[in-house]
Amino acid sequence: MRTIKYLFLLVVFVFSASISYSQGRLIRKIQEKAEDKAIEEIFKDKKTKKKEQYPDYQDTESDYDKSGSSRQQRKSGGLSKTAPDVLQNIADAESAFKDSKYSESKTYVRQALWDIELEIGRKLLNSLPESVEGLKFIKEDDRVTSSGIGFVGLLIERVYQGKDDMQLNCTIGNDSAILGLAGTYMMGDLYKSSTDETNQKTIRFQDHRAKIEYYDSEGYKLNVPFGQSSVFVLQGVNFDSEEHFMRAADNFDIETIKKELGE
Amino acid sequence: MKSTILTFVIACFVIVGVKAQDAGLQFDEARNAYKSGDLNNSRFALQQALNEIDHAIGQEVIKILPKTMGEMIATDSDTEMTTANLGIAGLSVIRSYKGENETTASIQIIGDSPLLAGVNAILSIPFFGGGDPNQKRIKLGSYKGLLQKSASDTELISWDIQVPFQSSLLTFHCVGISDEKAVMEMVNTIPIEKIAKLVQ
Repeated sequence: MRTIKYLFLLVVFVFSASISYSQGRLIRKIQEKAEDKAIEEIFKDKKTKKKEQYPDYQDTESDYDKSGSSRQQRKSGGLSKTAPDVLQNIADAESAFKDSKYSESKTYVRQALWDIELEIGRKLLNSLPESVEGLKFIKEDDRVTSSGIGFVGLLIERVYQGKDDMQLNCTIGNDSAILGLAGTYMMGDLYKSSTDETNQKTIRFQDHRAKIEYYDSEGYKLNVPFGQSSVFVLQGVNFDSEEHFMRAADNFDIETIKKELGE
Repeated sequence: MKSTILTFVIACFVIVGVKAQDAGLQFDEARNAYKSGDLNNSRFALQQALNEIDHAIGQEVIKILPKTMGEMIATDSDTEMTTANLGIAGLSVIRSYKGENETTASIQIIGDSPLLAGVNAILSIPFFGGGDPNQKRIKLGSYKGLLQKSASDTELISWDIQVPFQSSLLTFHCVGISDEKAVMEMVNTIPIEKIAKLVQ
């Protein structure tokens, strides 16, 4: 009987303790919420006033709070654009070379090479068609990449888009040792005889030996190596047939591209 | 004898002069082609100029390479220098040494080659080569490198030391010397800091 009494007392004690703990937690939560609300109200007034005074004012504090200890970068003005001066770079290279500052001379020559390659790329982009089979080129996606050295060479890219999710990606690589080797390998009889894949075939495209591929996930792809170390690659997404894709490919003139690249 | 030495000195100056003039010609050609709107020829001339600059750098490197390696003497006729503005090979300088009892050595410098950047990154990792008892990490000047010993019953002991610096690689190869200390003494005579400054 005595044991039961003690047990009962223990249960009552635990129960009441847990209630008071829960109540304490609840009260603390309410207190915290009230404090937050009060702070919010006070600062909201200040910020509203500040925003009214200065329309350009931005809430940097809240950004800081959100991101924790690090501050988030908002869009800035970017780097200032300096007009490429090929002739100045050549002059500087020459002068450094005469002074036996060879590394410096090399840097200037490379800079001049980059600038010239970018100009070549831009000129070539201007010679490409602006629309192909109803697809219009996306000006913002025009890209010229130059490494200044033959290892990677010059890459020129243009994208065309149109109805039915159709897209045409045109990439021209020039003066690249990798492309030269890849072109030789791709178009050589070695590759032809070592593969029995049915999703690709060798064709003639504007008097050049070329390779066309098709994959369900990627669409059609035409590779045309030309000149000593250049390649023309055209990828067609959502074209309904090979004929349709090849009709689009015929809009590009390899001879004109060759001429622009001095191949 | 005096006239022979004088002729040789004049010949050296003429050769250097011709090389310098060649680079100057390339700059002129690049400038004129660019002014006339011929971008491709301007580009080609600049690529040629890069070759000439690499050639000049190679000449400077050869000048500071040791003439002897321990007991071995440089076989100057074997000193090679190649340049390729393709950027794959970059600049390559090789000097060979020959001694008695079939001992040979060579220094090869491949300079400013982007292809090497990846290889060099691996070579620079501190634990690379730690597992092989014939491989050892070494330091040449302020540069870390890899020493590799190759030995077999039929062949003479040979040593290879590779020291990467940025996109360049210095390789020392030595055959017929069994003492590692002697090999390291020879390698330490290579002025790598000066070479790195010239090549970069």
